[in-house]
This record gives sequence, structure tokens and C-alpha cells, in this order.
Amino acid sequence: MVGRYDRRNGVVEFASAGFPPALLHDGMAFREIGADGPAARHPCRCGLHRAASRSWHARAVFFSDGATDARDAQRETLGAEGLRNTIARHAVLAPEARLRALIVDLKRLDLVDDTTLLLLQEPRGSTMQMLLDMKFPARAEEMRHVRARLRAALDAQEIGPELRDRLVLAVDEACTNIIRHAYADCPAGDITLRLTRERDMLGFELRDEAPCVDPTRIKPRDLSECRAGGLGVALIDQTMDTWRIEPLPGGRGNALFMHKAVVERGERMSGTRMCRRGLRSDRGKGGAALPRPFARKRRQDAPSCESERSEDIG
Amino acid sequence: MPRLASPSGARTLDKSTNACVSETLGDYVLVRLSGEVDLSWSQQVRKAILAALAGSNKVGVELSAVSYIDSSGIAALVEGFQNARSKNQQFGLVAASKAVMAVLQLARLDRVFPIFPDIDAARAG
Repeated sequence: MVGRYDRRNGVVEFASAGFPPALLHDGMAFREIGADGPAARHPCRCGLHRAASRSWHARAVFFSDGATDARDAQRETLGAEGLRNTIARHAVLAPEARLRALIVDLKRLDLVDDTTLLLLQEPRGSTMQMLLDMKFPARAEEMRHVRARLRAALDAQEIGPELRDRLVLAVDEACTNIIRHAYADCPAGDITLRLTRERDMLGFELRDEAPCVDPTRIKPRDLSECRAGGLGVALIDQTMDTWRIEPLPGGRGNALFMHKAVVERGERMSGTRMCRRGLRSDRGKGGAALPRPFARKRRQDAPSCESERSEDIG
Repeated sequence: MPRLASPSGARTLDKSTNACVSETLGDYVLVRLSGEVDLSWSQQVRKAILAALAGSNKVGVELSAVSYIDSSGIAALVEGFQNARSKNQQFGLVAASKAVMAVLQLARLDRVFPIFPDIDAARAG
């Protein structure tokens, strides 16, 4: 594949041989580009400026067929639709984080061929605001103060009280999981909490200094089960648009990234609507199951409490 | 530190103060909570609820003065509910605050617990 991107007019020109069509994503829908003809003779042109909307910068995703051929445990391929769902699921993230999240998702599947991903997105300038940056001892007694600081920071952004309280709960649950589980077998260290906003996107980042956890073991529990423990991750999953855990390099420390799209008070959460469009199906065209915890959040009926008593609290 | 259970607890609880007070009303025990129920003292709430169930077949947890509850607090309520069911005891939540109801709904537990608007309704079962 060979191509060029002109920053002045936002036009991408490229030619490829044997690659699947690239995908132009405007935040709401996908359009295939480069699907026609012998590529070397007819280089494809597409304009990122024209595809951009007020809130979303269009982005083009180029990929080799190794991405769509990735297979799940049942040997079913991810397929074109599965890849689109995966891309849409992370659409709210910043480019670097989005590409990293895509790679993480693909690596959870079986990659049977060389796999290349290229993401092209116009720079939007640095508009990220740091709303809160605090470090505190990983102790339950600290959380009341942390919640108060977070509540105040969200109030300053005019986040409505209902969503504000859910966000505070989600962050609190993440912190208490770090306190109870990450630091369980070692002396408690600190937790760093950062709250950022970039346009309509709130970003929550929590870092600890505990031994690295296995991210694949952190899953939201099924809320149709009525039991005393394991509710925290499910509450995070219910509230946030996206979240993921990354072990930090060096074998110590973990970072949790959570994102939530918001708009001004009184308006609907447009980012959430967009994000869930990508979550419409948790199985790709080829039937490939999307890796949890990114799988679609299904509406569940009220849980039955016939299960046995649990001693597990939290 | 939260104020903890006593048989003749204060009638009025302050939303800003963590407290857990048990009151005996005839054959009914009411565990009254206030403040922010979180990991720092939810184990004490759990013990108070289980102690109430050990002493009475009819227990309610009054939540009107709870301004915040996390999953560890919800877990204490779930454990009390399951404990009561296993022994055929009566257990319910009384006058749950808006903050508590929001978390119960988020956890899809609002249709699991018996929730009563006031103590009279709770005692009537």
C-alpha cells in the first residue's frame, strides 16, 4: 500500500494491492474506500474534511485481511462486520488509545495471518483539560474525601446530578477494588486519579502501584445473579461507555482508563448513543464473539435471589 | 467513625454523619443507617443487620438518611435479605433515599428487595 495525505485539504490518496477496502468512519457510519479497480492505475481519493462533523473528526482505518481473519475460540472469523463493530466500540477514544484498544481486542483472538492496522485521523489540536489530578493513600477511609473532590469537579462541568452520582459511584468502585484486591497481598500504596475532558468526552484514569493484574480476569458479573459480591465491576460497566485495564511496564502497577461521553446539562448523551451504535451486535458477521468486558451491555430482567448465601462482600 | 447500634438509638439521624442505630419496636427491629455507606464501615453495617436477624424474625433497614451507598453497602443488604429468606424471616428496606434507589436500580435489585415507604408499612409486611 502506498499513499499520501495532504493536511491542507484533508485529502487522502492511496493505492493498494490485495488489501481489503479501507473504512472511513464519520462517527456514525462506515463507508468503504478503495474497493474499486486495479489500485495502482486508479488511486483512491477521499476527503477527511468533508466526512467530518461538528463533534467528530473523520478517521480512516486501513487494515490487512489478517484483521478480519482473526478467529475466536470456536474458530469463527471476526469478519468485516465484526471488525467494524470493534472499531466503533472504541470510537470515543483518542487516536493513540483507540489504536491500542483495537490491538488489544484483536490480540485476544487468534491471529492466523500477518495483521496490520493503520489509523489516519486529522489532528484536532490539544483541547484536553485536566479537571482533577489527585494522589491519595489506598485506604477506604480516604474515599469520602475523594468522592467529594470528584463530585465538585463534575459539578463544575455542569454534569447533571444523576449522571454525576453514577460517575462518582463508578470511580469509587474502581478505587475500592484497587484497595481490596490489587493491594490485597502487599502493603497498600497510593492511587492516582485523573479526570480529563476533551470536548464532550470525560476521561477517568486510575493508577496504582500494586502487582500487575491479569486484565482478562476483570469482568463484569451477570446482574441477573443476585449475590452479595462482585458488583463493583458491573456498576462500572453499566455506567461507562468504555473501560479497560492495562498493566504498567516493569511488572508493577496498573492503569484503568474509563470514558464517558457527555454534553451540556439538559441535552442527551450523544456520544453514548453513537458508541452503542457500534455495540448493536456482540457477534460479528462471522459469528466471532467480541471479547469482554467490551461486549454489549444487554438489558437484563430483575435477578432472582434463589442463589445461595455469599460471604463475599464488595 | 460511625455511631453504632444501640437498642435505644436517637430518633433522628443526620445525613452527613455515618451512623448505624438499631431500634426495637415490639417484635420488629429497625436498623437505621445514615451518611455515606461505603467500604470503610460497611462490615459494621453487615454485622448490625445479621445481629438484628439473630434477635428477631422481622427486620427492616431504614435508609432515608443515607446519602451514598456503594457496592459493599449493597452487599450487606443482599446478605441480610438472603439470610432472612433462608430462615423464613421477614426482611425489607424502609424509606430508601433517592441515592439508595438509584444504586438499587443500577444493580437491578430494586425489584428484588421488599421496599416499604415507611415503618408502618414495613411492620404490616
